Amino acid sequence: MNETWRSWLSGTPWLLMIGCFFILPLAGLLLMSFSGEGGFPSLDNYRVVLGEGSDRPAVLLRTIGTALSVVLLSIAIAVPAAYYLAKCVLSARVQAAVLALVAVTFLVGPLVRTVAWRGILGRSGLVNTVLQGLGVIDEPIMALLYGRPAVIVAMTYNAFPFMLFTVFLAMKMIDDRYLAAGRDLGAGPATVFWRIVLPLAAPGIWTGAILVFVPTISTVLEPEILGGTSGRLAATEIRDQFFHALNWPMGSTLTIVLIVAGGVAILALALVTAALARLSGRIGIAMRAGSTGAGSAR
Amino acid sequence: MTVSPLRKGHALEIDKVSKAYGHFLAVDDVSLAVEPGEIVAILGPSGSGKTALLGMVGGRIAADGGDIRIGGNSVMGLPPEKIDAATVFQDYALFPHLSVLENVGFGLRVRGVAKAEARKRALEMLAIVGLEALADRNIAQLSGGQRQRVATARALAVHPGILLLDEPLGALDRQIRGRLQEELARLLRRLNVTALLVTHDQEEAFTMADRIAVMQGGKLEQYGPPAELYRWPATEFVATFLGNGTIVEGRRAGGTDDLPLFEVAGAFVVARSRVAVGASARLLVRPEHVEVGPAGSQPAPTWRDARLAGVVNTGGTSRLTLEIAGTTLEALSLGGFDLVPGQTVDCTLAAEAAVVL
Amino acid sequence: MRREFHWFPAAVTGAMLVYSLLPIVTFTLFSFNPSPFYAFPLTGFTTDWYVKLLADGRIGDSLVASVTIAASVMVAATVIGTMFAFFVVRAAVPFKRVLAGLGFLPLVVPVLVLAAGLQVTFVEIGLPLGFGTVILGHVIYATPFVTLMVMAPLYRYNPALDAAARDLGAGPFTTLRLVTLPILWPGIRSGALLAFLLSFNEWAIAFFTGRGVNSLPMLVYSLQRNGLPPTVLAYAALSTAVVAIAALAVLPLVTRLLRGSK
Repeated sequence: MNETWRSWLSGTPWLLMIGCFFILPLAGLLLMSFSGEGGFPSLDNYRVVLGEGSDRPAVLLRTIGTALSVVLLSIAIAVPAAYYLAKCVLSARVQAAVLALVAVTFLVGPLVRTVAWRGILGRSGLVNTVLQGLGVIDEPIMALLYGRPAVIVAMTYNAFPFMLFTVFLAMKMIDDRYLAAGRDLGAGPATVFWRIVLPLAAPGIWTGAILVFVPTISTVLEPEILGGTSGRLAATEIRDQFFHALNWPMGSTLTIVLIVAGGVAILALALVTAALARLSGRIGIAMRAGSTGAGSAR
Repeated sequence: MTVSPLRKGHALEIDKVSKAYGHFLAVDDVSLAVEPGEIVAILGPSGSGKTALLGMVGGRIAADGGDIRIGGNSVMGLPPEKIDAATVFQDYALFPHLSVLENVGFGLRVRGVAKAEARKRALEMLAIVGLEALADRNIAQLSGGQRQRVATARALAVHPGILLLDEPLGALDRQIRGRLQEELARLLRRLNVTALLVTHDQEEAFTMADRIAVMQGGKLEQYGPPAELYRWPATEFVATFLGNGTIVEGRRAGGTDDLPLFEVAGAFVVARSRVAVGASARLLVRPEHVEVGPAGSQPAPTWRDARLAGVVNTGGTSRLTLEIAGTTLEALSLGGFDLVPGQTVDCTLAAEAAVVL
Repeated sequence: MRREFHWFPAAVTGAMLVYSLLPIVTFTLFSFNPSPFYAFPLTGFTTDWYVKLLADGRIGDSLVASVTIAASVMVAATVIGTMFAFFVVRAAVPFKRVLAGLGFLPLVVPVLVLAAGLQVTFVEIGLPLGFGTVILGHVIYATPFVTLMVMAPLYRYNPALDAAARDLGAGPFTTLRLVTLPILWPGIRSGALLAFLLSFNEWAIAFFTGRGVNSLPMLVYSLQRNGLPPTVLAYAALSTAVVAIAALAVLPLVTRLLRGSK
């Protein structure tokens, strides 16, 4: 009895807060999105957002596409680095130092991190100055700043540490003897990576993908500070509905649509990752397709 | 199926191999050879360097000096995947994301064997270890003994020149370990596999191996067939690490070269040795070689008036502690006859039972 | 174990470090540059921007606001998040998995969505937007991270230690105070630090729910819109230094954790 009482005591404060200031606000957004000009409930806002002639679906696709490329870039950076740190570097001190360095730059905060890129990608920024100094280019490249590439570079910069940390932990948990056994049986380092390390680290990559994707679809800083006139993204439109147009129901509708689209994208990502993980892990001699999953438990 | 084709020369030669970690010499100038089809056990306590030695043969640890040859070819500096050896790892290291069949077929697939062929050979290998019915299972669904057999099948599937086994049964319960030791040894002999086995378990080494290499402190103490090691240990460490026994002080008292006589606790015993007359020596006496009876019961005992200091009955046998002229001796007695501590007894040492170390 | 050098992952790791450090190094460099533009060339060395930054009254006010918010968030999120970690790891109640999952939902919902939803709710229920609402929003945002940081050592915690303390005569709260919490303290401390920094740097929730609250990120946001004076760079460099010092304090702990998980 006492145990149960203490169990509830530990969980209740947070669960209450989640209920009041998380579930309730989301429900509020949902309700508000249904209040249109014709009263409540109405689908007016959704008709405007998704109806013919609206550019919102394009904005939404652009947002999701940008976020997915950020996820892919994060994987491309974090997976090799995490593998190197967790499985090739022996010293825990070196591992901690590299992770701490990334963590420090991460914790400086997204605003400062984003602004910083202006001095690198700008007309007289680091990249142009160095390239001109080396004589590679005569005129500064203008397209570096204020465009999609700059936005993606900064978004990746702001989000990839999530991927690095989760994948590092996942790889750190893989028993070194699996790698030794793979080598022992005749697999080279690359084969061991694709056949053993990657499938076993897949849950970590997957967690990292969500942690990168979620903040990326909702950030307004990078497009605003570095995006220039490149296509608008969904988060900026939401912010503008709340603060400039003062159309809260429309803002709520856009928010709900973004959540749903993000959910669909994550689901699609999950299916693709699962298929890829199976492809990379499987060695093609299973008794029947998919027979070795947890489902074959008798 | 025969795994090792007939080969000339040694299957494995370890030639003056050393390995240091900082100032700690893990393996110190060890040499030993394994013949084709032979099962050799490296036996030693933890920290004796036996696992480091196995790691060097498998290419997982770089040796500091010496040479290691498998089938006559040096493997020094080769990465593990290029070495014609396969390992059954301690706790097996079976891939948790692959099925039983895929684990067994892994080595074949990564060596470029076609899917159908790899599948067929993996199934054959599973049939040999009696697990073809479990081909489809996850590793997590297997018992300890089954995992051991999958690990063995996985290593054997690539037809290694030598099979390396790192404490292969160490993770199992005592009850099934004994049965599996015999099973595994039978399997390896049937397939004519050359195997190098690392263990700290004397019983495992004796049950499975044709020859045993005893290691301690990074050094090879003695290498030979189990019976020889037990009967003629070369060092005090081997004498006490393998089986029980008492080491007693003695002195060469005389006798001929064929029949050297030693004085031990006031009696004369015969023991093979080249020690000069008058020199002192240390002799091993195994408890089962000492026969004990009530005073006056033996016609020509080695020692009379031995005092029985302790009796511990362990079921079928009794462990006796004897005190003879200031020397303590252990003896083993079948059955529990009416010996009580403190009584005086006769002791007879079996002919040529004492070993000079 | 023999470890080989793998050039490709090593090169990516190196590139990652460059990528991570380049912006930080760049703005630190320019914070000492006399030119008022965040662009090459570097023309000299000056600490004027730091002097200006410290003399700017707005910075001081914003710093006070940010620290007040972050400190309150740290205390609340650490207490609530640690309690919830106990719930996730130790509690035996029906539907615990569902309830635990519910508690981590803020991690998978975009901050902007949370910010918009909070604004709507606060206004609807008549809560005035200000310090209180920002703190509330930040607690929702930061608490799951604290819970994650405390869960790791709690999973490893040997319950026999509690049993031993109880056996020796300590009551449940004495046990918590003298045994459990001290052992979990490194994790709790890291969680608290993380909560502080997350709140200190957070912009979207403050923007949506903090009418009249001018926290540092809000100030920096408005400054960078108006031509990015180098005082912002000086602020960025200073805050990097503060984070780095805080990180040095937890580095030995991270090293120990990494050794332990081998």
